[in-house]
Amino acid sequence: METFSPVVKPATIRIILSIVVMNGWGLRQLDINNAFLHGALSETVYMLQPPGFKDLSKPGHVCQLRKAIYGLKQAPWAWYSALKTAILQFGFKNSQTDSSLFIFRYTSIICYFLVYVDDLVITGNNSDFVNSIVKQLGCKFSLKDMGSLHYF
Amino acid sequence: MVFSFPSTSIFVICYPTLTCLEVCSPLSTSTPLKLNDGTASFDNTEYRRIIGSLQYLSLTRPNISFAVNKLSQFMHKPTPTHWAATKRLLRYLKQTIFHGIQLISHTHPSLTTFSDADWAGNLDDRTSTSVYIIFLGSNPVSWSSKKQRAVARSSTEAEYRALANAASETVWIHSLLHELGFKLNTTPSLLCDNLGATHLSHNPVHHSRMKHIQIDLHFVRDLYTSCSYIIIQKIIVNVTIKDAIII
Repeated sequence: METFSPVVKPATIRIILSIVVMNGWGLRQLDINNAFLHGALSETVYMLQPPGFKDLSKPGHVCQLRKAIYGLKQAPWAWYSALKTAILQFGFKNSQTDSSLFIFRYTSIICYFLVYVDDLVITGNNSDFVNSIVKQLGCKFSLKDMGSLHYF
Repeated sequence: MVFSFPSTSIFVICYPTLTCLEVCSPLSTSTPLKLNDGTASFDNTEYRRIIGSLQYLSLTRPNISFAVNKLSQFMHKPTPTHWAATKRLLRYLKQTIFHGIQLISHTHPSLTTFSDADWAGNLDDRTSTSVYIIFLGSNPVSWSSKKQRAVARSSTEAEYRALANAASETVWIHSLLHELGFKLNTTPSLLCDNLGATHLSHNPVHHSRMKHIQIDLHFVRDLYTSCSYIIIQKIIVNVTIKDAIII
């Protein structure tokens, strides 16, 4: 069972920041709300009825999970694969050198996507493209647009 | 553009009792740190807590990475001497609280690695410490300070191991830049201040004395000869940038 969610290497962040400064690009920071609840489950997992939400007529029943939930061992991995699938659909490629970095390069458009569990940083040379990616991502997951990067 | 984690200020505020003695370096060069220095060990919880925070802090501060690496080696059995050295480091941080990494926009797209080793610097087991710092143009992007696992019998050997370490990180960054579509205008250069180590990376001199470090030896030499990935040079200036992380 995969339980690991990759985090970006400090050197990768510093290289991206350095390139951004050298090219004068903008940086956007996004935060995914309840990230771990977005992951899909491949295994069958049962959960005791949560306290306060017990069905009094069926106290002996348990819940079958359809999606990942916080505290589940595979939740970080499930979230990462859900996010990865979404980003790859947008035409990004997963970096060979750092698995939490996604790169989009098509004609003159360059866009980089950094993932630190549920914190995302997106940057590129075309702000319209960045905006459209943020919009498309917002349709798939509920996210908070934190504006330009100030803390990561 | 200056990046720094706000943790430096949070961190020093947690220790308001620190007196403000003037210190200009993270570690004292006159008081060597040893595992057994004759003083009794004491409660290590607080020590570990501070070192943990310092390790996090060294993500944005290359200048304390040597000191933090050194102090981390005593986490299991700290003595009052180690505690004093840690407090000195905190005083240094208090004085340099507004320091951060400066990223400059007008800089050459080049990759420069500075590598060094303090030969037999560890007084307990006489191992050496490898350090490197990598600059993209004039922006620092990666650094490390690590205790070597084996004892080096000559300074060339210690420097060569540090060089191999630095070379592998440089190659990783080079491939990352390639993936990002970032073009360098020169071949990445690796600078080291040991003439023996530079010669070794170019051709197999002193073979009889260097047989035991063959893996590192071939790794760096292959990068230099076959792939033309990197160029290795002897650094000529007296005060070097990597001195900043090795003190």
